Amino acid sequence: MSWVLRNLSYAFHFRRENSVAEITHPILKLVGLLITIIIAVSANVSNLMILLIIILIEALYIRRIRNIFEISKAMMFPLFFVGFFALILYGITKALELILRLLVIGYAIIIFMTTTLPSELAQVFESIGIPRKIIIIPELALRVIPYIASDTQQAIESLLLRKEIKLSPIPRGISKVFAAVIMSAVKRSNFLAEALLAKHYFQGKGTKFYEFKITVYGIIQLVVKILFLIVIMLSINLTTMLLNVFTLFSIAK
Amino acid sequence: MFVQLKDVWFKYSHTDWILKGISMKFGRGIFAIVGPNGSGKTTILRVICGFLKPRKGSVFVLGRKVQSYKDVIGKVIYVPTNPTVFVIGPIVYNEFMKISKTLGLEKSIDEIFEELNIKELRNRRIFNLSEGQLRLVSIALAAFSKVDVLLLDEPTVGLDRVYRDKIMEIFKQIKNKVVIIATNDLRLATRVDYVYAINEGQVISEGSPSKVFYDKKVIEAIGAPEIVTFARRIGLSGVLTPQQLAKILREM
Repeated sequence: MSWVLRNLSYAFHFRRENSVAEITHPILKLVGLLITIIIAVSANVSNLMILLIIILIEALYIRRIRNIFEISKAMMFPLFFVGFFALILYGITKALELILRLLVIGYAIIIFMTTTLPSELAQVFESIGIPRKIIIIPELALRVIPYIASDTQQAIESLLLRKEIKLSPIPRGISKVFAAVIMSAVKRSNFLAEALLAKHYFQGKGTKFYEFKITVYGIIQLVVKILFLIVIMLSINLTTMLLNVFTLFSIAK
Repeated sequence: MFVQLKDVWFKYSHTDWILKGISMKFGRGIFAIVGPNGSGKTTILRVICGFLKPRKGSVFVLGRKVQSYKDVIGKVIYVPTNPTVFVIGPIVYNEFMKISKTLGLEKSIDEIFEELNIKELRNRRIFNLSEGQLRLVSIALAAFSKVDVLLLDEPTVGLDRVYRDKIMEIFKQIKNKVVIIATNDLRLATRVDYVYAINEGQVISEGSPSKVFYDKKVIEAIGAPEIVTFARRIGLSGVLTPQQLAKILREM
């Protein structure tokens, strides 16, 4: 359990890699992410495979392969369970489809989260007129994820040794971990709220910290995803189409 | 030896080496692992618990090689930096009841409250305790449970002198146990039996506090308690408390 959390926290770790994705306008990336999620929930297996390859190429280009590797490790255990039950209930194709959908969504979220700081996103939302009181909710929620992960890990480890919880063969007492983590989170939020009030956070106008650009990468990834969405909407099987094109070329030669 | 680390090397998949050939021995008594932030103190505690597996080397707890945390359940108790996740409540008294059922307590709950002079906390809700009180309760729970090895991560963070003294009082009451404290609090570290000073994943000095805190390597890497800095300036060594200093000055 703790290694899953550890890998999750590594996967979500924001690193400055001087890649083009970090200076790309967050709205371009956000729209790209939303389109990817829509495709992921509606595409068939072969199209999902192609989308997965596109995402992996994108991750390679913007140097986020390590994060992809960490999230894959973290998702391995839950995916195995989900896949196993899907296999029993619906058969191999559905199981594979479900795993691919989850992988694509997971990878797309990781790419977005590891190239966009919550405060960058907040700045963009603020610039398009969304009230700061609304923006601050997801911003803070995203910021506290690593702390919650660390608290959960500490709770699991210390309560295991106290014999209060058990992980195997049958997990027992997990609700105690939740209770401890929620209590810690409430305390942390209390401190955070007080600190923000002390800094007059809700008063006055926001400050622009970041400069964003409409980069070639940002446009290309968006265009590719929009095209992919169109392909899905037209119910075209991309693999069959590519195979047909390949066969046509072979015949023409 | 109760706890032993033999040439332990550890790294996460995405990092450089965090522990580089650490060898430590812990018998009965109070031990401190001191070092700057990121030097590997918490990692050592988690390796002892079996939550992290060394890449090289081995860890032994009560003569048994630690392969996973299952090997140390019932032998080791670990109080993390954030005591909120260790004490689950909801009432302080219930917490002692729970630990008496799972691990067992060495004294009756009433005796513990009496000895630590914390009777007023008995029926308090965990959520309403101050940071210091919560830390004190978590350490008391660990200290009086029937386990042989206590691992405490930064037990004195944010505590005033009164609470620090209370915690030291608890440590003095427990005998026949190994207490390993990972700390940055040099005032606490001067009051233990044996100190391991680490830096960048390696042991740079070990021994009694009067030896370690006068070691030049330790002073350069970690710093020294104020009393040590003062004593060194006037050409003294081995002094760790104001009482020792006063005695020497009187004799001079």
